[in-house]
Amino acid sequence: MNSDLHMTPDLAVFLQAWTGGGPVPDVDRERLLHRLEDDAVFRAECLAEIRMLGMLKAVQAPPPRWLDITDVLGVSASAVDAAPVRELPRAVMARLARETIAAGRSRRHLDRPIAAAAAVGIVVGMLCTSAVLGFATRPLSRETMLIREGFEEPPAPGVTGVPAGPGRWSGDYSEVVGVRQGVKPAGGSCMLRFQRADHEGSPASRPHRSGDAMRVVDVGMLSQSIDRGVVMVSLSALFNAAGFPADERYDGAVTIYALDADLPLDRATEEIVYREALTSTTGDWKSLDRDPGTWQPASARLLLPPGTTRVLLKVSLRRMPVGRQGLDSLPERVTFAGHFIDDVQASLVITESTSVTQRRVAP
Amino acid sequence: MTTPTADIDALLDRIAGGETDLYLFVVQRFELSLRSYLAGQLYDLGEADDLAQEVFIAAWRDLHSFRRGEDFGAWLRGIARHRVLMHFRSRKRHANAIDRFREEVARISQSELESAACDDGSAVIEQLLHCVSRLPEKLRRVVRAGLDGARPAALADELRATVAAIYQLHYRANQLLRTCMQGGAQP
Repeated sequence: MNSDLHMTPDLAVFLQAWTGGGPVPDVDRERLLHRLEDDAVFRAECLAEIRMLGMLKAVQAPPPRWLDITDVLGVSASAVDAAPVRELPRAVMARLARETIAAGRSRRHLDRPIAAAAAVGIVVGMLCTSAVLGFATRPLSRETMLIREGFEEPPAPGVTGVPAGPGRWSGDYSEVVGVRQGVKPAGGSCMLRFQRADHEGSPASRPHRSGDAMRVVDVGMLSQSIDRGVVMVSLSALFNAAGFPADERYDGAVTIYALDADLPLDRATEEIVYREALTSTTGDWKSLDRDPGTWQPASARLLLPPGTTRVLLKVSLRRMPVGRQGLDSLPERVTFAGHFIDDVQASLVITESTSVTQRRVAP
Repeated sequence: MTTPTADIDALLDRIAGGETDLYLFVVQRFELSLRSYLAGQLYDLGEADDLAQEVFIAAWRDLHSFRRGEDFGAWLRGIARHRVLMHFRSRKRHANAIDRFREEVARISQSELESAACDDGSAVIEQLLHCVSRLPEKLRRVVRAGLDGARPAALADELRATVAAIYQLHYRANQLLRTCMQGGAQP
């Protein structure tokens, strides 16, 4: 295995070919595939990299909603209610929780943090009790719903950029609409339509190509758990678009920022948030299709670092160049003709019994 | 780390006994390792997640054939291996150069990927999140952005670097992450 911190030229080209991050001539691809078959050392280097890339992809995104699985299992629609899997087996979790509590008093103290979590949101997932089933690697964890937003209730999101504080959506120009341009809300009767990629008071000095809707959630009351490194935030949203021209492309994604108490949000711009955040993550950008009948999910998750007192949740839609065109081919101020988001969900999972860092790690 | 076979067997017995909703617990237990395994061959997480769902459904329908005492994760990966091949075949007519390259890489390295995946239990993979959070800021940004399609170019633009430098940074980050996961020096 190459112990140097620099890639060999062939490994660099291999990764570009595999990830699609750069043009690789066919002749180089063929050569690399031959080398991959014939050279065990090179093969081991390549596999180590793509395995790590695969793990990073999976671990940084929350699991999908597994709706087909629940259909097949026949989990009742009322119990499922299109929720993520960690919420799905409520009956299962409740039963397991009962079994756990009955099994011993030693875990009863875990009820206490639930009260704190409930103050942040509604406790929806009770207990992921691997212990009752004898699993050593999944200790007790709890999911708390922070936000489930369908834009059914007023007020409509503000259009002044970064929200000044918790409790209200704000961002770029948008409006709450019902059925529009052949697009039906994913749930309920309302959804949010992005109008423009800028907001009131946007600086004129830079391009605006991404429309954002943001919301701040106060997690300060979970500071003890956060400082132990056991709190994970997940965010997901659904995107849709009415038909748009073939020479246009739009991508949707969600971002989570972990903020400390020192950042004054009432004067913050997105650049300041990006620069000052303790950490942040953006999930995969999903390229929107032209079928108004399909809602496309995007998601991300972030382990909150010590010191986090607030999280800023951001749902973004951006216009991207098509083909080999550069960003400069796009207008400086993008507008959106028929682009929508709905069913924004944010939750946090607190793993209580054993921190991940304490777990045994295979060599 | 693998789930003790006795534990998963006990769970499967309960499922076989009629507690079908407990299968969601099995899904939850194995999703991260299975999705990682698939993403390590497809890289597109949407495709990997779709296939993971198909694998779990196929496993559910064929659960009676799983022999107690064997490695359930390995059994799932066996189903996944077949699905990955089918996936590549189904796309053959419309496949681009990247798809064809990934298919060949998966074909050549299938057995070694499978052996390596035996050690990739959920706890090991979850450890990655902690390791990522400890990377230096620049490396963390590169890792969080990923290397899909236009991302390296966009990130290179943001960081005023070249695309090759972004790949190099990611490579360096991966080395630090492996060290961290093995319980070595923190990145």
